[in-house]
Order: sequence, then C-alpha cells, then structure tokens
Amino acid sequence: MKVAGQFAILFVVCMAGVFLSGLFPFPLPASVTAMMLMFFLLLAGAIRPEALREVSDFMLGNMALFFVPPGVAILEHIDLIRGDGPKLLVVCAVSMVLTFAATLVAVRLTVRMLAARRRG
Amino acid sequence: MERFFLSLDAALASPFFGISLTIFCYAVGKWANARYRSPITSPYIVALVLVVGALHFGRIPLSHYRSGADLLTMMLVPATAILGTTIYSRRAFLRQNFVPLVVGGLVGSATSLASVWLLSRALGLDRTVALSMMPRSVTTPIALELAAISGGIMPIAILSVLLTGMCGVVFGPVITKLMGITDPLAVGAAYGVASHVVGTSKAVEIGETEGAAGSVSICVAGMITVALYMMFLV
Repeated sequence: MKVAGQFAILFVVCMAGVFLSGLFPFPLPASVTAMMLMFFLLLAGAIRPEALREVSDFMLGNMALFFVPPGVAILEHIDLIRGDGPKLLVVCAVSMVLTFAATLVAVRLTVRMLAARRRG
Repeated sequence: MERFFLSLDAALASPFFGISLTIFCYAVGKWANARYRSPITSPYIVALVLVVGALHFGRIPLSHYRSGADLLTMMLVPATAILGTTIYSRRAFLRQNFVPLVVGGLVGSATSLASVWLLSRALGLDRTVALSMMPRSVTTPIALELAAISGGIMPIAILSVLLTGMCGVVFGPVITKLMGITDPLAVGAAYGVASHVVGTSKAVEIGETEGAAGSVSICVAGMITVALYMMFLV
C-alpha cells in the first residue's frame, strides 16, 4: 500500500500539472509544470520527501525504462528518418558540441566574474 | 489449432504483453550493464535492441506492442515531475551556485536552439524537421511535448534526443580535455545542459559536484528551453 500511495501522490501532482498548464493562454508542457509544482510542494512542506522516497528512488534510478516505447516507435517511421538520417546525426553532433562548449565557458566566466567582484 | 493461434494473438494484443516485454528486456539490460560496463551495454540500448528483435523475429505487429507500451509512455510525465524532488534535495547546491547555473542554462539552451535551427536550414532540412529537433537537448518528455506543440514529428524528436545523449557521452570528455576546463561546476553543467539525463550519467561518474551540477542543470535548462522555444514559435 505504501508504494501505491506514493504513486497516487505523484499522479495527483501530474494531474495538477495538466490542470495548471491548461490555465495558461499558451501551450505549456504539463511535465514541466508538474516538475515545478513538485518542487514548490516539497519546499512548502506540503509533501514530505519521505512520502515519495521509494517511488522517486525507483523512477530516478530507472528513468530510461520509460523511454523504451518511444524509442521502439522510431521503427514505425523508419522511412521518414532513413533519408534524413545522416543529416540528423550531423546536426545533433555539431549542435551538442557547440552547446557543451558554450555552457562550459559561460559557467566558468560567471564563476570568475563573481569571484572577482567579491574580491574587488 | 486455429483456436490456439487466435488466443495467442489475443494474449499478445493485450496490454500485458507490451509492459512485460519492455520491463523484461530492460532488466536484461540492467544485468548486462552491471556485468559488462560499456556504453553499448547501457540498459536503454540493450532493451531497445531486444524489444525490436523480439517483435521482428516473433512477427508481432507493432500495434500489439503499443497497447501495453503506451501505458509506460504515460509514465513520462511522472518521470519528469519526479525531477522536482532532485531540485529539492539539491536546493542548497542550487542556491549556492544559482547565478552560474542559470547563466550556463541560458547560454547553453540558446546555443542549442539556435544552432539546430541554423544547421538544419543550412543542410536543407524541412522546417517541421528542424522544429522537431530543436528541443533535443532536454529530457525526452519535455522535448516530446514541445515538439507536439509545434506540430513536429515525434520519432524525429525522440531520435534527436537519443543521438544528443550519446554524443554527450562520447564527445563530452574530449571537449573538456581540449578546452582544458576542469571546474567541476562548469563540467557538470555542460553535461546537464547539452546532453540531458544520458550525458549527466557521465557527469555523475566523474565526481560528486559534477553530478549535482548536471542533475540541477537538466531542470534549469529544461525550463529555460521551454521558455525560449515558446518565444521562438510566437
């Protein structure tokens, strides 16, 4: 019953996320709204971290399990991808390298600037 | 005999088949990963190959698999919501490094979205394809919802997220070495922002601060990417 109860809490938060997303005049992913709501509920003390312990350990440790079906679904549309495949790979690889480098430099510079200001 | 095959088909068409096959294949992947540590034995890749193989060699229609697998797909929203507990347990870390992490998330997400758009257009890819690929640096459920909002092609969105995660694991160590940056906060943030959960698993291997910066950055970059992507669509 413990685990079922924990799932119920999680699902209620997701449901609230869907509801809150619907209130915005523009489309907003329910998963993001639910994630922020979860954070604020924990912060406000409305949910105790222990009240989700087993379920969050399981979900965080096996996140990839839930990505298997969408991955299999790629097969269904293999014809869509076959032609553009190499281009997709190039875009993803180059963009990933640029993003990685940009983040690396941005964080490094910010840390340095903050440290310099604190000293100066 | 005909009755035998009819019942077998009914069993395979029931939701129990898709769920149990996926969990079983994933469990084999976990076992393989514990036994032979290598990027190829990641539980995800193993599970994917086994499920696809089982469906192909068993000549089981994808629609049969889908009836159960869709229930697991539904779990993508809770899987993202649970990331809220990660931010909560790392809230002291986030507060301490708030400015660098947000700046990193902002610069990284903007670079990601802009570079995908420009590169896809330069390579002559369709506008719809480009829009499906743009959210690729965030975790799958967020990327899928964003792609859906713009009328994108789901499989392309998923494939881009997967390719990006793998690129992160492969190229991440090379880039950090070439650029000579070892600052744990910067390295962790780079993995989290550029290559979501998959890349962050690499950051977790490197060290404690790298892992923390990575997990927090997934959430920060996720929210920033949503905001930037929506602004781009308008």
